[in-house]
Amino acid sequence: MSVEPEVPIVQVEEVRENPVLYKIISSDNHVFTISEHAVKLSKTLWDLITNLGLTAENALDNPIPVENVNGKNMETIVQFCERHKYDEEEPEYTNYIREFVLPEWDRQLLSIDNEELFQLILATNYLDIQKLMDYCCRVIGDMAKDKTPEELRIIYGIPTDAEDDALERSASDSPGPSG
Amino acid sequence: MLPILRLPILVLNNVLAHLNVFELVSLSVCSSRCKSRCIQFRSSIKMKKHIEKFHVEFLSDSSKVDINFYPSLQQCLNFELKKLEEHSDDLYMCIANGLYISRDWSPNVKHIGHDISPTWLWKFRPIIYYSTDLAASTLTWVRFLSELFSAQPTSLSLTFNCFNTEEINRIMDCHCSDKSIATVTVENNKIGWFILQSAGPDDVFMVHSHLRTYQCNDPPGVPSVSYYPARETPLM
Repeated sequence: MSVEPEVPIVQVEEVRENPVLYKIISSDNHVFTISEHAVKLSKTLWDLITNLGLTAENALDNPIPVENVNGKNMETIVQFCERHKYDEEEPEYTNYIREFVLPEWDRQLLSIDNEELFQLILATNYLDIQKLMDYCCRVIGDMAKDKTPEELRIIYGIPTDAEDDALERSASDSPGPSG
Repeated sequence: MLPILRLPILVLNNVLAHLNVFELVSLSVCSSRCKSRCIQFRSSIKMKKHIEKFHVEFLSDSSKVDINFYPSLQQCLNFELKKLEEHSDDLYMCIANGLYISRDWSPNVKHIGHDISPTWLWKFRPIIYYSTDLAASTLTWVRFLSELFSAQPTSLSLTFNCFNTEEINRIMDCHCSDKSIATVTVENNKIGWFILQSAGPDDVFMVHSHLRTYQCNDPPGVPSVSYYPARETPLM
């Protein structure tokens, strides 16, 4: 994939102590550099790097295109991964209610509008970053605090049964691709 | 708006894992599709093991449905079903046939400190309203919760003289399955109390009535009933 020269290169908290850096290109052709420790938080990216056989010598010459994630989300993701790259591994959750404190830095990072959060969570799911996924889901779960069912329906965009039925009817009534 | 039903199923399950049990019930009354997603989330074997007590109690004009969630008891749902005196669409929302919640439905939560654990017990005590038939409405709500939490009631108590034969039969039909035992005791030609319990070999025998509690922890074949004048208070 060729990258236009005028495309901005986004520098996100670059690390000097770690010489191994990788380049990632978002769907809208923004280029990001990310350290090895940080990129390992994404199972998808790390599997890709491993399978492509990228090394410290050739990593920067072989940018990794990620066509499902735009530049805005990628910037957030790279910031998150750089921030948490040296975190210790989380212990297994024992209770089904996941009790953890969402750090203030991460809460700020995820203080974005709902549409952006929705897109970010899909990107996080695609890149398979468990910690960011847990944090995003925690933010979404927190929206349910002290809410009535009617408020939940609005916040989470839940159609009523009648609306679901109408949608289903219109889907079955509409002609298929050949009709 | 964040359309959670459009999230991939594993992501949605992760979101639901961050809700407490009252929030999960609140979400599941929003729509049938929402409820089925919540059921899907709760239906894993690991989740099913988290319920050890699911008690239904029929009183004269109200009923109670209590669910305790384990392994470490941190959450209880204590529903109370009350008669809806006057229906108004502005104040109440219908959630199932004959069942209503107020439009400002709240968990009425109470936090209780454990003696030996630093964690808190969250007791959610929401109120549900029924319009006409207490027995039928309670069974509807029990069925709703049974589906949602993939669990059946573990114990049942009722005040017999408050229900007619047809209602009692209906309750018995709904709660007595192959895996449960129903025992009815007659005192002075009147039904005194009855118990429903799981037929599991290690289950504790527990009887409830509105005035007394009988308890028997003896192994099968060695019947011995201890009589308690008040619930869980031994007769001295």
